[in-house]
Amino acid sequence: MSGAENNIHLHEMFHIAGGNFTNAGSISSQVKKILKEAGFSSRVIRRTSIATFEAEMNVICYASRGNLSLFITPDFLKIVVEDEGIGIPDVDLAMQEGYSTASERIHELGFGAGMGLSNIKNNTDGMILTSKFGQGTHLEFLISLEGEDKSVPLLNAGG
Amino acid sequence: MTVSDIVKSFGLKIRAGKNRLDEEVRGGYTGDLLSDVIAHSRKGNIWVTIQTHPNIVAVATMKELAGIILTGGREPDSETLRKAEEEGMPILVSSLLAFELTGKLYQMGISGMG
Amino acid sequence: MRPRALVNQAKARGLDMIAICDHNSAENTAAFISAGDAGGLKVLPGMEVTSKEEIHLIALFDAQENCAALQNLIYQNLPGENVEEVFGPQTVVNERDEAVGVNRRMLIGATLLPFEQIVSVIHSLEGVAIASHIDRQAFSLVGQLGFIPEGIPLDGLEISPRTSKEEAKSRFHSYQHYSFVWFSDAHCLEDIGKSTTPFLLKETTSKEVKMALHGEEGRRVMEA
Repeated sequence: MSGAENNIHLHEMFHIAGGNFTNAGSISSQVKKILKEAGFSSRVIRRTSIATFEAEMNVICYASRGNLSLFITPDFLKIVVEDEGIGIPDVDLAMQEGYSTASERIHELGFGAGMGLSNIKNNTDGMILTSKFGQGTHLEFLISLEGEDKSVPLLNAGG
Repeated sequence: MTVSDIVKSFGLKIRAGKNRLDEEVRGGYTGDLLSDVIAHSRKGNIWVTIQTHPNIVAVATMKELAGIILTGGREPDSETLRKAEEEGMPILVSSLLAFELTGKLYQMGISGMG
Repeated sequence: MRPRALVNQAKARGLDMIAICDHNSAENTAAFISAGDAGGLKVLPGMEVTSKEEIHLIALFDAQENCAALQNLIYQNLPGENVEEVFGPQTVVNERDEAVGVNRRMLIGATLLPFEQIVSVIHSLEGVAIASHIDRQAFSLVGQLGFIPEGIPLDGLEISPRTSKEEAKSRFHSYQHYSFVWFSDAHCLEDIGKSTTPFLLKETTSKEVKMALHGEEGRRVMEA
């Protein structure tokens, strides 16, 4: 993926204020708007919006501040979310957080403490999560554009 | 009595429509259900509410109300402010709660109906 | 309500698909979906959200995870604790009709979120957004805000069983660019299926319901 980084058509960064619930969802809605205007397929827009919303909520819930960056390349969309926050003590455990059985599912849905990481994972084609407990979290995910109509996007670069 | 007199009496904060405060106030209405305000408020009323949605400007403009007072220190949404400036509709903020403010307005001589 | 009893009742009333839409919570959706799977009834996860303007809004999803994501946002913006003596206990159940927990939040309250923001989040999560019982004065978009603000991308407007189709069509003539639907808003078993809306769909999903509400690709809301 490093080679493709030279080929970024659009890079946009959004600031997310931790604890500011009155604007929750506004970043994912802006990202969605950009992708719509660029002419991406509804499948790409849907998956990106869901993953972006979950990531945005995590920053609002668990961090004091963060930035979400959207990169559009010919082959994939990449979203990077960096925050200064409480971090995640055990990333592996957080990722396992589970939907394996019905009762766990109820628990997960019920007590709302989930970070939606499995939902991010399920809607993306690659995800990297690193965290320093007490300092912050770095999350990246990719949405592949393989099989997408390449003629439709994009965009006057520049952004 | 004008909107400006009310602003001075209660130390209201002016959030929009500061050029339209010389409007004569005739009666008042207190309510948060906009459908009810449409049905029962009258021209020239000062309107006391906790709703901050942009629709309050449309309702107040349509009913030719003298101004809107948001109670409990509630602040208007940004879109509400934009519309209020566009329409020249005064939006005022009071830290008092609706019951108390309405009572004080009544004591000042602003009676229920306009 | 108990999942198995509800599924049986819905099937007895001839329904193909229902949605579980508790106020400001989706903790019970998993149990009802499992009971629906076992009993052969399609159950959609959903919620009836209360905006800060005290407007009720129905959200329907296909994926429980997306419904849970909305619930997460709601919970972060829902002040207060339930008072059981007044509002009754808010039981969480499993698919075997057993109580597994109690929700202590004040689900009957209003969230701190503006109506438009909730609609936008529902759409980000691929959900369907329908304004509830717009013919009622209490807790409805039209009652609370007087009229539907322009440019809200709602997927449909729900009319309560108390207003007939003819009446709704004339009263809400200016909103006919939205699809109207009739749901039972059932709060007890007897009310299930009291009011229904037939859809022409390829399969029973919220995605198809959304297409029908927008009249896309042959899907539509049918006249009863």
